[in-house]
Amino acid sequence: MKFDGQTLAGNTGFKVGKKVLLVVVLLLLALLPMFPNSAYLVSTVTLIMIYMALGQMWNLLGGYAGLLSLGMQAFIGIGGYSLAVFSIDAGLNIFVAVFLGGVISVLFGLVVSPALFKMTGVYFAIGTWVVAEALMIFFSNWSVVDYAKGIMIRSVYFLTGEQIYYIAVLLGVISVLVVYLLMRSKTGLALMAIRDNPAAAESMGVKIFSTKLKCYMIACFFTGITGGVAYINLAYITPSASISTQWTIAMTFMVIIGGIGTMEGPIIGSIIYVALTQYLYNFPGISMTILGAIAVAAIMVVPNGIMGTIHNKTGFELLSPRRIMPPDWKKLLGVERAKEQVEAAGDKASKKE
Amino acid sequence: MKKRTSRILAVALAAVMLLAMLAACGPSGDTPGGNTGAPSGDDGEEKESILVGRVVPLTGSIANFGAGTPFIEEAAVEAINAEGGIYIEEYGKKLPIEFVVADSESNLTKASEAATKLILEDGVDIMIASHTADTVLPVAAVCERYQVPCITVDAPLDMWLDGGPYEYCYHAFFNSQTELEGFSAAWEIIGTNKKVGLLCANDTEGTLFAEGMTEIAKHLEGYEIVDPGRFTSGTNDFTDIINTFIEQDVEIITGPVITPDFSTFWKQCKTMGYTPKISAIDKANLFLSDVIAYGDNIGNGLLSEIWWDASMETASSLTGQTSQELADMYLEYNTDIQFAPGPIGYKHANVEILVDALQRAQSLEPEKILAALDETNLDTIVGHIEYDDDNACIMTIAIGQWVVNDAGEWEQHIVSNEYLPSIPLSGTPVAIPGSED
Repeated sequence: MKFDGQTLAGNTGFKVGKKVLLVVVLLLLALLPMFPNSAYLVSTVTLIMIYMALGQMWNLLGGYAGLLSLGMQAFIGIGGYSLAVFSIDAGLNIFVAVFLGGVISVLFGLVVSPALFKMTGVYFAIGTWVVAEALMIFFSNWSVVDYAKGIMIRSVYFLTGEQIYYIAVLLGVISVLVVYLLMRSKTGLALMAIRDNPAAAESMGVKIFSTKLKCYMIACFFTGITGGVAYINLAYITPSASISTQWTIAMTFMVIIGGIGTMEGPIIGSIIYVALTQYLYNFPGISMTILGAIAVAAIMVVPNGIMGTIHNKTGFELLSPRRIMPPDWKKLLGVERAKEQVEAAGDKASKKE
Repeated sequence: MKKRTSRILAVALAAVMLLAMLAACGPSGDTPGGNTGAPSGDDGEEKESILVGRVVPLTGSIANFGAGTPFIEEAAVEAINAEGGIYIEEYGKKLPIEFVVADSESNLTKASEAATKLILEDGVDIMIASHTADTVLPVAAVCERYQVPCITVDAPLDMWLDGGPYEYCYHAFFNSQTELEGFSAAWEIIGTNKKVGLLCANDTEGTLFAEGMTEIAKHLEGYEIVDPGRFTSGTNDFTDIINTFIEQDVEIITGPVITPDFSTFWKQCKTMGYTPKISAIDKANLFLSDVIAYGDNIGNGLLSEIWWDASMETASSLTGQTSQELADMYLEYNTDIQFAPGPIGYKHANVEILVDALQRAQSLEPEKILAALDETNLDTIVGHIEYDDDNACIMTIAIGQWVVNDAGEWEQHIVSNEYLPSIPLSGTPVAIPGSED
């Protein structure tokens, strides 16, 4: 009998309330630019969507696959510079340029992954960071990207705030959907098994390298695409800003505050992060101090993140990748039969006595 | 029961998410910059002020440049605001100028996000920005996108032009050529073997400076550029670069470097026994507090570019203050420092250009403000401002040297003013102590 993640996932599904909630949220997102005086809200939600997509990918690696990467900013830089170079120098359509950024990110990920996947834990984290720093230095000395001079991405000026918003919303929703579907697939189950116990996962037939690679490639692609969209919004790029640890700090902040290893964590984390940073612009000079204090306080009060804590206390999850065992799971697993066999063996033994 | 709880939580979660977004994006209340949080323009409310966005680094590696904001800006418009402000035709009345300040945190991405916030949330009518390319360029990009007039100063002009052409942005500052001309005038007096070592980070300013200097030096008789390549800002090891300078017998070092990087470099030079005759570093040594912080008086003899100084024989078109009076006013406000640095004069000049344009435009319509900026012909506290066809105004520099006097006190001597004679000379340049041993 075939028994995989997909079969088990089939019995979960959304509850009606959750479906309604999701529809309402999506509807609000779709209609938001039509509200009067919503330009700033639209701009803020654009940022939330971009950061959410980044957070989802970081969470996919760190929260589900156990690949704590400190170097995802490399793909933001690749995505941003692909947009700049392909759309300005090569004259390509900006969406083609953004897509190419995703493809190049995958190729770059493929090149560095054999070396990176030889490392685990903190070594993997440092390895990814070193790769990103090396790429930043390479870009700073590469004529194709005009060294470290910075590029004004004039090719994106024609887009209005609303258009960028819809691009970002599409990206944000797709990123959530991709991670959700991935985690509810056989690969997702394998990833969590690798995260929890690599040796046991391998002994159960999980192919560690190829599973990690698949996950890493997906994260590379979407982080690259998100980098492109982020720079459609920012319109000015330099190597030091695009391949900056600031992005990783933001991703880590969002996922940890929101709840690592939960689908909703990066969503909540991105809302909190963007809302806080935007609000704190009103406190010039002390904004970083306040943000740091909030981060420390949040980690102390809710060490599992907001969604992790809510889940632990109430069991609530909006987008759960967890599988619910089907009603006939005992039959599927042969538990009843095993129980009968054990009981029969027990009876036999007692008769002998 | 559990299902019900989950539903209630789901609804609560959605409400919280929406409230969080709305709370963050709604009116923001009073701020240190004086922002009332009320969006301006066409929201139907009566316009009460001209909102001026001000992006400035108040924290981070270039926070020293941001010091003095918003005190200087608000002091500059105090008298005008006391008389009701500037007459704006659309509103048929005078409106006071109000600054809405946002901290770039010395971060390019944050500068861009802050500028977007100022335009979309606060609804600023016009933007001013200054203090290095990392602040000015991202803000300019945002203003071009949202078609908001933007007046900037204090970022090398050629770097700003590299991102052009501009329609909504205007910029005034020195460029690589005027900087090299200013520095080389001082080098000539000291007398060296004319070997110039480049100390440039792999950032926007470092890359453009290296290119510009290499090109310009070709036209300067006898000067040879030694370029050991770019370093990554934040590095703790300058051994390769210093060894190259030693091997090539470099007697002059120059480049745009932030203070933390120069501090590391300079201390390592001392450790390795290398003392060039001249250190003409841009950015790092503008502030006495930084030079003192290197310790053991090793900052003695460092050259720095002077864009504005208290001794400059100029006066404000706004307040009538002389440079000395502006410096005194700032030193009274900031009692922690002994000298008013260049950024103070340029902050004031930035407001002078703004007010002049608004007074002539008598309008908050971008086209009219831009037309007024095109016609700018103003004597400011930092010198004459008149924009060319690229919306750029080239400024010049004098050269100062930090010196420890016989009493052990720090002084800054103006040692070269060939290209900025409105700053009087106060000393003769000397080689860095220990370089001729």
